[in-house]
Amino acid sequence: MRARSGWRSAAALLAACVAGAGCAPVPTLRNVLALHYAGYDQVLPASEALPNEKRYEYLPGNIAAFTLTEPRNLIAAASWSSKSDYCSINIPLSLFRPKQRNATTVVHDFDLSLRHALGLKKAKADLQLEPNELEILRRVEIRISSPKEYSVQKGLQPDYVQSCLAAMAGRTDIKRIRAILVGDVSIKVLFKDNVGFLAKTALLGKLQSNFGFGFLNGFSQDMSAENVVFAARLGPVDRK
Amino acid sequence: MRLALTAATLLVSAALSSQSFARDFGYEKFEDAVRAVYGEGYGAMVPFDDITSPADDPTRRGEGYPGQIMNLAAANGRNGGVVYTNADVYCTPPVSPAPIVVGSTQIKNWLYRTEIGLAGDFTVTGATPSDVIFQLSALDAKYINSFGIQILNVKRYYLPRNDLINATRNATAACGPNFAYGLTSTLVGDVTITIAFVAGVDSGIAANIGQHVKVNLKLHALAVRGGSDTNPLLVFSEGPKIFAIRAEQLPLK
Repeated sequence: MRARSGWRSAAALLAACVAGAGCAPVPTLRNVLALHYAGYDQVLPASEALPNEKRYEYLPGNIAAFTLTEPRNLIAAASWSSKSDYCSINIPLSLFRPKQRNATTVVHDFDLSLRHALGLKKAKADLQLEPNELEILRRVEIRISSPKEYSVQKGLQPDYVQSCLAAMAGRTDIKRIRAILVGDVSIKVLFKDNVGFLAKTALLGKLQSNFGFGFLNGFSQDMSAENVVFAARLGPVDRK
Repeated sequence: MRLALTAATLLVSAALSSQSFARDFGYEKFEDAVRAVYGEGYGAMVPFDDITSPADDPTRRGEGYPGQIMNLAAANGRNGGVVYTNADVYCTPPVSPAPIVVGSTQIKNWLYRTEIGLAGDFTVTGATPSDVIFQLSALDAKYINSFGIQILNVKRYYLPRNDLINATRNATAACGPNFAYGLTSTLVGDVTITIAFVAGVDSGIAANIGQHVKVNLKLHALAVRGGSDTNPLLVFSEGPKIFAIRAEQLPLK
């Protein structure tokens, strides 16, 4: 009897999903990357792009050590922490020819979703919040504008420091940065009315971690970062 | 001379290890935020430390530049990160390389609600009476409801691996083997600490605690009073300060 009611609930959830609401994940940067910039993963720490620094950490072609902090899944890109151990390709970003990518805006409106029926668990899992914390949220919006893709180019001759490559050789945690995405990222969190300052402050602090992305600029609930490397495509070192 | 330096280092190490028995619950939680925002490997710095601006220190003799070697006490954060206690014992390489400086993520709206019970005892599992919250003992911390931290204009200082290896090797050759860590990256920003007191706290007690905070956290600016008579706030704001670092045990490989 219990099994049958379990199947009924699952079927109801599925039907509701098919009907269109509530199944979309609450946007995190990792979700946005998986759905709109396939193949790219999040890299931490987020970093302002430096056009004229040939020793910059996130240059395409750099050989760098990373720790996998969150694995990739169907709806979310992986998240990698840079160990800041790297050998630079020694070619500044300004010499690369970037490719324009499509801008993206993802909105999750908590009031329009079937939150109580099925969205609550989903949102709780995505944002890692408690039910009482979710109750005060009205909307989450992630906007990526002016994204540009910089990738390894055949015409640019790498100028690695050989002693650096020798020091990194044999390590199992090193990758070659194949490409990066640079753009302006904005995350807006809209609260319900009559939510107190302390509750907002505590939740925003938690969200900053849970979005997996912090903010170079920003004011309270409207957080943004301009000209930031927000994702990278990593590959094996031996693949040029 | 070398013997004296060794003895001094041993004394510092002994002092650091005795400090490390006292956990700092505020910094432990702050480390969680540091790790989540900046990635694994960055540890919170106790206390937040001053750094000279690159313009005022063109040869980078001041503390906090990647490639320096130093002695630190390292303690575990609440969820696996590292909290470093600074001993102000460091040595620079003869030629200190210019770091790469990039804008990085701000810490906004970070709030720590004091983990302390009505009886003035810490509510963290395994707590002992000698533990602290942002370097304040339970005697002071029981009057505090929360600590808010905001860090703006965040810059990250770092170097490629070959520069780090050369710099730490040269520093060790110049300063001797009595240093444990190489500094590989530094996070610097303008720090604002907001202390919210419990309702009805006496103004004299609040002022006294403000003074303790200033001394313990090595702050220079006077606190600005805010809030209301029944719910007073103290706000400390200054920068730039080192709030987190990456460090590796020497020798770097």
